[in-house]
Amino acid sequence: MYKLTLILKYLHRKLGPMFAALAVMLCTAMVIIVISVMGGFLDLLQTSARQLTGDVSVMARSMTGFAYYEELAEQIEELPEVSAVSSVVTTFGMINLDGQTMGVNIMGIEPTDFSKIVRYEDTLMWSADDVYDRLGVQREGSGATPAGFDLHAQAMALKPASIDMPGVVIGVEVNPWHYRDKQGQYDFGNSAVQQEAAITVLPLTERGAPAEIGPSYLKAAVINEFKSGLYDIDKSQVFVRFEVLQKLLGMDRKESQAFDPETGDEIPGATSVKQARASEIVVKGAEGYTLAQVHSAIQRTVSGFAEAHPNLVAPAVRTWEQRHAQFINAVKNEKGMVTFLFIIISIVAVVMVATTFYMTVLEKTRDIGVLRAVGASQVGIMSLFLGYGLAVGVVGSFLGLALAVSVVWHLNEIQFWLANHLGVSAHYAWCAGGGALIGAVVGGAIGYPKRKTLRNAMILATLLLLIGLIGAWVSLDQVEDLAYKLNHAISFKMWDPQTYFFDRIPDKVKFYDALFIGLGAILSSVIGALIPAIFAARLDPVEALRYE
Amino acid sequence: MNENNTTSSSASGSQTLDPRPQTPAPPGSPGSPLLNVTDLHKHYHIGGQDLHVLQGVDLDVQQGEWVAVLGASGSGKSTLLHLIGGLDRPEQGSVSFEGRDIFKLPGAAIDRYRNRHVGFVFQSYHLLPELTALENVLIGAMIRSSILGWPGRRGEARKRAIELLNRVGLGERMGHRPGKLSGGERQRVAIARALVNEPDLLLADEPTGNLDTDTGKQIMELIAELHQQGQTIVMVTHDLEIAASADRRLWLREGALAGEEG
Repeated sequence: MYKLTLILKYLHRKLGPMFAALAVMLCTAMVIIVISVMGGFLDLLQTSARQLTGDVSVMARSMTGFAYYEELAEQIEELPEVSAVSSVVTTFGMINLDGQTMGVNIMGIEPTDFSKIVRYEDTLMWSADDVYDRLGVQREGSGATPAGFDLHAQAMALKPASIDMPGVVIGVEVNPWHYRDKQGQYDFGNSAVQQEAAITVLPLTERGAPAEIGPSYLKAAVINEFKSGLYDIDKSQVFVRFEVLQKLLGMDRKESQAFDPETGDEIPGATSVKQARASEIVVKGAEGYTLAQVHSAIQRTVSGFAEAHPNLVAPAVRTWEQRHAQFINAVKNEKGMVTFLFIIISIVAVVMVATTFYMTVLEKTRDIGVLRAVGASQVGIMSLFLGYGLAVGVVGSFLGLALAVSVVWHLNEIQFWLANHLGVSAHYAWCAGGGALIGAVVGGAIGYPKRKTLRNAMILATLLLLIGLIGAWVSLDQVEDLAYKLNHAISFKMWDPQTYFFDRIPDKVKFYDALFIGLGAILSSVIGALIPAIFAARLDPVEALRYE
Repeated sequence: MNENNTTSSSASGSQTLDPRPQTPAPPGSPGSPLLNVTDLHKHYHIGGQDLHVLQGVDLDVQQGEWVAVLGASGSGKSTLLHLIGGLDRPEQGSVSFEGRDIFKLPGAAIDRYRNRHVGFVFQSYHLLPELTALENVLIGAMIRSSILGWPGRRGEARKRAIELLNRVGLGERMGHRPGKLSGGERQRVAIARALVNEPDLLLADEPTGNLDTDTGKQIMELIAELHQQGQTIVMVTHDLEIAASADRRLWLREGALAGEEG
């Protein structure tokens, strides 16, 4: 029982172990914050990647696509492991917007089917509300939205409402006139909606050679923009209707006069058919099946399909993880490296706790002798200091957890505040903080022998800090314009949405990550206390009693 | 003064052993000493030198007896007390408490012996600065109890600790930490702490050494009162006046008993 009593007394009467708890707290908070942000970033990438490519893709091995895709799509759709399929055509090409030409990936889709598998509909940026806002007019009651205003519906049809031409939906970063504001937002006023776009592609023959007809052109109206969350996609992807792109690339079904291959003469009444081709079939797995099960079932179907069509090159079957392995693994490796660095930081925390506890044991040597004299065992003394380490770990870990959760949950607000206020107010904050620190150090140095003086010095330092902060706030309020201008020049941005593609910093703390890190911090603290605890237990009680 | 007490010592500083039979009388048998110290030797190695601090000390202490051990600084008084209390181990000899050699007991049993049968009072009080006077007194009782057993024993232990503090005149200062107490008050707390587990043997190491004459006198009056109530006491001191109240006085010189009075 004495151990618990002394641990509780030491906890709030001793400054040294409080510093150890502070070190544990900061280490815990730092690890949780970084792991949460890195993990959130990775999750965001993975979610975006999966939602943009479907669970599994059956992909042509060549840009020329593969024939009989409808037959294969039907077979795949019948699988119990599959809930939806959609065929797409993809190619490289160019898009010209208002005289600016960009290289893009062009995807021909059937929007309704495609949306069942891939997050297309959710990524559309502009709606009728933006049109109303732009035009500065109010909606009239609950009347139907004019078709020309309903950008969402047009994008789902991939056809403009009022013009007889194909529609195109472009990635938001394909539009050269867009830029993100400080909050990472795009302005509808800069969008390419309603503009005419010229798309150029190069049709290929079935054997992969450029078609004799040369490049094909398509005039289309931009009907919406999308933002997927992955910069590479948003910078390079445009969508048109499946049949439009298929025809543009010459991949549609064609019937022509048949010729005798030996004589070259026409065969009267006979026609030659070129099968329609697609580049890819995107697949969504059914509920209750793992990705591996879905992949495996589709792979079997594709193998059967290849056997039925021996002249075809069988398409490849890739899961979303396999398709995006390169950048997902890069982030995973980065997270692994950060974890490794934090193992080193944890070792530093262990050493700090060990040092602090060693000093505490030295300071408490005589008390250890007294405890032995009144009957405490060696094991008791060891468990006293291990328990103390545990208590410091628990306090540090919980405080660290609280700090980390508070920071991570408000990371975007903190970032926003830093970006908009720290530039100028930093001077005041530094003055106030510096004053408080100097006050604390000087006060501490003068008052260390007497706790009361030290306490007074700390109170004085805190008052200085408060006065400084209030001064900074008042000053900032009064010279807001000046502050804004100065801030613009010298603001501190740790996550600039104009630079990073994700406009929000991931702000979720995973329960098991936090639990694991918190327990790790407690364990580190106990490990740190172990050697001093053994040292304390092995002290000769007589020498301990004589210790000066 | 107890006439039945017998003490044999190597008064001349020679290494002669106690001629009495080494097997003590069965514990609790009439006339058997509470404490029997036989041929106790203790060496210290300090600065490359071998110091033979105790050179064959023999001592019997009867139940209820107050023995004062006198000697100059460095004569081995405190070492003798530490060995009797099981805080240290001798190279040779034995300390038998109620007929059992404490150094043949396992470590945990020696810890229990210190906790339940012995109470230490030190010259420098040695109170724990973070604890109040009451908590300092209770610490021995806390050590005796496990964390689960404490709630059942707490009331009784607390009652006894309060009683003891009242008895030593500190009933009003139970909530004070040692830093707020005078030297005499601290020593009284230390005495109360030593008595909390109702020990058979009180070991006092220069209990008035750090106190002024008047305060020292008060502490001695308290110790005398405890003795009158039947407490067995072994006290070491260099002050003959302080030792005068004891039943028996033994002189320790250069690690050996050099004389006895009383």
